[in-house]
Amino acid sequence: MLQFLQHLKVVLLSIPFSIIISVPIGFFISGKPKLAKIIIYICSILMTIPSLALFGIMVVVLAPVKLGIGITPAILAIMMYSLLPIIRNTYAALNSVSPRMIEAAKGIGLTGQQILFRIKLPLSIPVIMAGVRNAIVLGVSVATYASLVGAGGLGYFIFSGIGRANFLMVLSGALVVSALGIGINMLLMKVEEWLTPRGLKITPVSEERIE
Amino acid sequence: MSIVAYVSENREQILALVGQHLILFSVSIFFTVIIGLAVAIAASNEKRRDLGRIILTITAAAQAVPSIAVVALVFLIVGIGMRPAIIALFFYSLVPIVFNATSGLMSIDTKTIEAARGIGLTDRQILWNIKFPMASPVIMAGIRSAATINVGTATVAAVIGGGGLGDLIFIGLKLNKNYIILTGALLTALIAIIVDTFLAIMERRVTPKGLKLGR
Amino acid sequence: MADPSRIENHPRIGGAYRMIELKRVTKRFDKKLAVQDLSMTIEQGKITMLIGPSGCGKTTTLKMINRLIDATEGDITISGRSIYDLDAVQLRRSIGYVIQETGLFPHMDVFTNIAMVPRLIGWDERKIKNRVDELLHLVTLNGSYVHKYPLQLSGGERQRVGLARALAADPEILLMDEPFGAIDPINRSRLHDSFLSIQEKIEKTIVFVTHDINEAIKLGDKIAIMQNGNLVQYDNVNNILYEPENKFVEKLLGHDRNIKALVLKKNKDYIVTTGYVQVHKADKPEAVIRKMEEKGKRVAIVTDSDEKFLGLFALEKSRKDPQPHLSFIDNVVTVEKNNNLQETFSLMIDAGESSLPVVTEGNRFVGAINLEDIFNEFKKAQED
Repeated sequence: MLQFLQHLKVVLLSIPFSIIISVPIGFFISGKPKLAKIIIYICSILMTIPSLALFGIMVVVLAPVKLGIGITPAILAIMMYSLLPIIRNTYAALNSVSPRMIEAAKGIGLTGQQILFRIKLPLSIPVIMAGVRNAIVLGVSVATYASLVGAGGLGYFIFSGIGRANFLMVLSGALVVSALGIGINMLLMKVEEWLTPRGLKITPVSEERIE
Repeated sequence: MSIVAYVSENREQILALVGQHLILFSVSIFFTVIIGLAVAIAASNEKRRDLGRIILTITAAAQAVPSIAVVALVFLIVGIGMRPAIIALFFYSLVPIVFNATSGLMSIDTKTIEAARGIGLTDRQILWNIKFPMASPVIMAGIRSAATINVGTATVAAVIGGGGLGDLIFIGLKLNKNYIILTGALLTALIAIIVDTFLAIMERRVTPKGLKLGR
Repeated sequence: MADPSRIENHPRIGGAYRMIELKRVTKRFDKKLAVQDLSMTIEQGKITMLIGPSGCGKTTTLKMINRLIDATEGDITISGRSIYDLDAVQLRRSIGYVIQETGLFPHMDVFTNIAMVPRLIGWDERKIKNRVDELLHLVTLNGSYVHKYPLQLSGGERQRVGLARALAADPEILLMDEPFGAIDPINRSRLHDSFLSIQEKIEKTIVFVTHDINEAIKLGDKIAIMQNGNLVQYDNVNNILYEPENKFVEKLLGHDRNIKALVLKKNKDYIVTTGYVQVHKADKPEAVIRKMEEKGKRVAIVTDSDEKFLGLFALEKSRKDPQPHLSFIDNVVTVEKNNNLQETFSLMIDAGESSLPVVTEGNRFVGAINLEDIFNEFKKAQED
């Protein structure tokens, strides 16, 4: 139980930082395709690096400041991993608002800022949320390695269990973390739905007609 | 000790680990692609849309499962060593391939398929000449995703005795020797980036010309 | 050696003109009866339109002919032979099939799209290449289109390629399912005209599904009207227009069906060469005025020595001057000999004239056409 909460703690500490950094970056690059391409490429490289490797690098990098063990490398690793989904989705969402809609908004007299907050943002929320959800699920996955650097978490059961050949430990660790992953995913999908402005959820009437 | 020194001193062992890592990767990916695509073809058949939808739901949920969980579960059933590692990698990278391939094949406009059937193509001809080419971007993206995850998970497979570069990272963490950690980490990162870049290029080359154009 | 799998290479039974026969065909989907006890004969070389409201069963009927859908009851024969005796895939390769825009394969270029069926049945590459060139020419697209991709083409161009593809293996029968539906009205009209002139050359048996009554009237030789899976009326276009079976058909045709019917008639059959004054541009004004006053006409048609139409002279009288003058009008509405009465009728109403000059190639004047004659056409048709 303790580890379960620890696991959650690790994830929940890193994600908000990630969002705070990524969403504004997403906004910032939404008008600059060339810059966006570079940034997104860097982030995708970060994500390509195997999580264990990333952890290792974090440990090494933080060692000189004596932060190589414990929660810090874990949080940093999760943050780096979750940059891509959130930035990419934010960028894509803001850019996919149809230019005609923006034109209409300008036409009825909204200022740039109003357009950003009243139109672009609400329309982008579903996609941004999907990115955050993706990031959180990844975070849960990556946080499993946290125990290796002394940050605790459900990974403890798995790694120690393997080491001690304690099958029950391994099994419970694996099952709980899987359940956590799937559970959080479903929970967040509901949140996503709840946050989606009602008008966007209506599916156009399509008839399967027998002609 | 510096990384360079470490590497040159232990060249052979490290090379052996790289080799193991690549074997874990390539063997599992090979089977994953073949079986994954076969499952996707079966699932995307128009006459069995519900099967397709079930498979999509299952794989979508399964993508939320952390990689080590799968490794751990396979360990419980099969034990330790390279074979269980390959099996775990096989199952784990199966998910993105099946998901993408099924989704891609199912998303082709039914009218296009109807036109193909109407002018006299057999089901198999439709699969190879129409469905696959049209879904190839999505399928390639799935393979690329699976491959990248695979390299990453192969790193963790070291923990169940699968060998590979993950061993270096684990040892380094235990012994608290940074240069060992970094050797392992940087090499795995390098392999992953190379594989990903290669597949990204393949993704672009495999996309049929006609689909890249627009008015 | 004739390919025995091709439908038209089977010995014809009972007269070649009865190309496709539907005999008491019924199609049931779960509980819904899509087509009920349908019997009809589709004649060779003619364009048969299937029309009706959504859900009437017209597309289902079309798809039963090439066995994309198999009938629940009843039989369909082509040249006397039941389609259920043949392999479905072979059947479809011997029938051309055209649907709306999404029918073209976007990942293949135009050449590969058109060459699909010929390649499947094993033609050699040179024959295929010649055929593709021939077909592109037929649908009025130039040779440079072979390497283009569907996504690069306009809707009208895509439909032409779709038609070329359907004709590639030279089938006797063409099935078309609302092929022009996604095209804008201006281009659709042009496609209709192209289509009709192509059919004049190829003379295929065409079954065409549409929901647009104007298209049915313009293109069809015979029209089959369906409702709720039943065949309500099946006859040639004239009979349908002038003798609608019931209120449903009347409503489908619209209360302006007389005007719609005008699209079938050509100006050239109604040209008159009397009743007007025709003069030369260089004629003396006094002579022209005299001729006009003799015949009691306000305007005179002006041509040059090659019979080319130049404009009109109008007789003008003013209070100040008792002498009438001629003024020349060059901005005159004319109609072409080969256009249809419906267009002429509209132009007359637009211009506020009960008579219009008729010209042909090179703007040569051939006569006049009168509103009165168009009205008489209505009356005559009602009496038939």
